[in-house]
Amino acid sequence: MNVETEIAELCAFHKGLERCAEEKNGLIAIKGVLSFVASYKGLESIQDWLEVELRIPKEYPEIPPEVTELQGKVVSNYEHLNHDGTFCLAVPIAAKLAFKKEPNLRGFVNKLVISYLYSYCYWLRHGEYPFDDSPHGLSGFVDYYEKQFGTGLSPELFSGIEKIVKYGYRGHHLCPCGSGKIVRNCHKQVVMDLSQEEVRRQLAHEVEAIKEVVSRASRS
Amino acid sequence: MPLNEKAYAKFLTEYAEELDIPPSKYQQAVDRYMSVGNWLTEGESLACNGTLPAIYAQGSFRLGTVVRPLRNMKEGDYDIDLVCELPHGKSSVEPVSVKLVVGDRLKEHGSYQVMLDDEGSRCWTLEYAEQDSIGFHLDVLPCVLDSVNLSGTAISLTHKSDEGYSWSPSDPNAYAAWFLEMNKSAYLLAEQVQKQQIYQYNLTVFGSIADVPDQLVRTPLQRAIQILKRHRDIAFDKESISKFAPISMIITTLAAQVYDSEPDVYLALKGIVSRLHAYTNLLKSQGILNERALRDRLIQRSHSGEWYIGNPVNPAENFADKWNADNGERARHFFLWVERVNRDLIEIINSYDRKGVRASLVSGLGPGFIDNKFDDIWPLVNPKPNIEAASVKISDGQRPWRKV
Repeated sequence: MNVETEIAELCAFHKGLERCAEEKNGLIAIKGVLSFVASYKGLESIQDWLEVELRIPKEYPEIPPEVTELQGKVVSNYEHLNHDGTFCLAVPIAAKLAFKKEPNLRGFVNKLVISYLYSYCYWLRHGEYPFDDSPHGLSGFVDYYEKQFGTGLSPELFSGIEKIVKYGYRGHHLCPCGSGKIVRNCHKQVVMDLSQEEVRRQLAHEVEAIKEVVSRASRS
Repeated sequence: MPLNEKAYAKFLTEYAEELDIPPSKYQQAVDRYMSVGNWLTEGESLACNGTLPAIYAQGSFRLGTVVRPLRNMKEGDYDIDLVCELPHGKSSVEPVSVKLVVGDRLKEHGSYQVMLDDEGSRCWTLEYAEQDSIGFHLDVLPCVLDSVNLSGTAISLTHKSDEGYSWSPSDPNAYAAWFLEMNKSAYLLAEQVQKQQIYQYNLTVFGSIADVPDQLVRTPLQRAIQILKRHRDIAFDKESISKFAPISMIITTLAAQVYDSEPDVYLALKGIVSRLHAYTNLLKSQGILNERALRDRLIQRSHSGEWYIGNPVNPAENFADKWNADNGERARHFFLWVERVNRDLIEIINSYDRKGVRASLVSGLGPGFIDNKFDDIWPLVNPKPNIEAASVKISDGQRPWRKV
C-alpha cells in the first residue's frame, strides 16, 4: 500500500483529519481534529478531541510519523512530551511492535496516538496512568526489557539481549530471563518479536547506547 | 474534557475555606469569649462553695465545622455557642435561677449590657459589631452538670417556653470527644502541613507554628460537612420548605459516621453522599437496604414508621425527633436533598457539558465563588468541532516514554 492510500484510509476513519496541500520541510503533513471515544478494558471510556499534526518522514514506515498537538490542550509540562513538543508515544521497540500489528497510518493513529491521548486524559483526571508509564531515555529501554522478560536487569538478561542482536531467534539458546530454560520453552514469543529485522536493528542501537553509558560510568 | 478530580477537590476545599471562619477572626472570637468567660467566673453570684463555673465552646465552632450562616441568600454573622456550666447540683437549683443569674451577671458589665439581645429560649446573646465586614454573635448557654447521667459530662441546659423554664439534657463535651475521635486519623495526616500554612498566612496573629490552635486544622470530613451545610442552606432557602431543612446535628453526625478517611474533600463528599443515599429505601414501607446500611443502621425506621437517628453519645436522644411529627416531610426532604447534592456536586465529575456543570455548581453552592473560580478548573476552549468521534478500543495500552 502506498502512503497516499494509507492517508486516504486514515482520513476516512478520522473524518477531522486532512492531508495538507503543501509539504512541510519536504515532509507530508496531515492535520486537523482528532475526535475520539476510547476505551480500555475495564476502565472508563473517554471522549475528547484535539487538533493534531502528523508529519510523515521520508523513511516511513521504518521511522514512524511525528505527532504534535496544535492548540496547547496538552499541558506543556506534561512529562511525556519530547523537548520539541512531539508526543512520546512509547519506547521505540514497543512503538514498532504495536505498529506492526496494523502497519499503516490508521493503525499508527489508533494503536499509538489514541492510546497516548487516552493515557493523557486519564492521567489528567486521576493523577495516575491507566497502563503505567515508562522511565525516560535509556532507563526506558532497560525497563522495557525487564518488563518483557519479567525479571530485573542482570548480566544474563543483558547478554541474552546481545545474543538476540547477534543471532536473532535461536530456540535452543538459554532464555534471557534467567530461568535456565531454553528460549523455545520460555519467552519464545518475546524473543521472536525482538528478532524481527527492524526491531533487531533498533535493539542493536539500544544495546550500543547502554554499553556506552556503562563503560563511560566505569571509566569515571 | 471534563473536570479533573484533583483540581475539583482543591476547588471545593477553597470554597469551604471561604465559608469557614478566617484564622484571625477565630482568634478574635476566642479572645472575646475568654473575656466573657473571665467576667462570668469572676462574679461571686455564679460560684458555689468556692467552685467557679466552667466556660467552654460547643457546637460547630468547637467541632471545626463552622459555616457562615446564610440569611435570605446573604452572608450573616457567625454563631458561636458558649456553654456556661454552673457548679450547682441540678436538684438544688431551678432552671429559671440558673438562666437569670447568668443574664444578670452579663448585665452588670458596662459593654455587655449594651450588646445583650433579648432573652432567648436557651441562651443570652451578645452581638459584636462587624469588623472587616465579618460579624459574629456569642450565644451564652447557662446550664448545670447533670449528675444523674453516667457520662460525667452530661449537662442540663435551661429552656424557656410559654409554660416557663425547664431543663433540657445535652452533652456537648462527650459529643465533641466522639466527633474528634471519628476525625482523628484524618486530623493527624493534615495537622502539620496545615498548621505551617496557617502560620505563614497569619504571621501577625500567631507567634509560632505551635501557637496555631488544633481547632483551625480542617480534615476532608470537616470540609465536607461545611459544604453539606452550606448546600443545605441554599437548597432550603425557599420559605415554603425551609422548616424541613435537615438540622446540622443530623448532617454532622451522619457524615462523621459514614466517613471512611477519604483523602480529599471530593472523595469524602462522594463517599458520604453514596452511603447516605443507601438509606433512601427507608422511605418505602418495604424498602431493601444494602449490607452496610443494614449493619450500621445509622438511620432507622420502626415498623410503625417512626424515624430514629441516635445521638452517638446518648442513644436515648433522637436527632430525628421532628421527622415523626410532620407526616414524613422532613424525611422525604432529607433524601431529596442527598440526591440533589449528588447531582449538583458529585455526578458532574463525568460530564462533558461545561455549561451544565457550571449551572449545577451554581445551583448547589451559590453564584459568587463559582463566578470567580470556575474558569480555573474548566478553562474555556474553542467549542467542540462538529466531527463524529471515531470509536477506538485500546487492546495494548502503550506506556508513554520520553527521549532524554
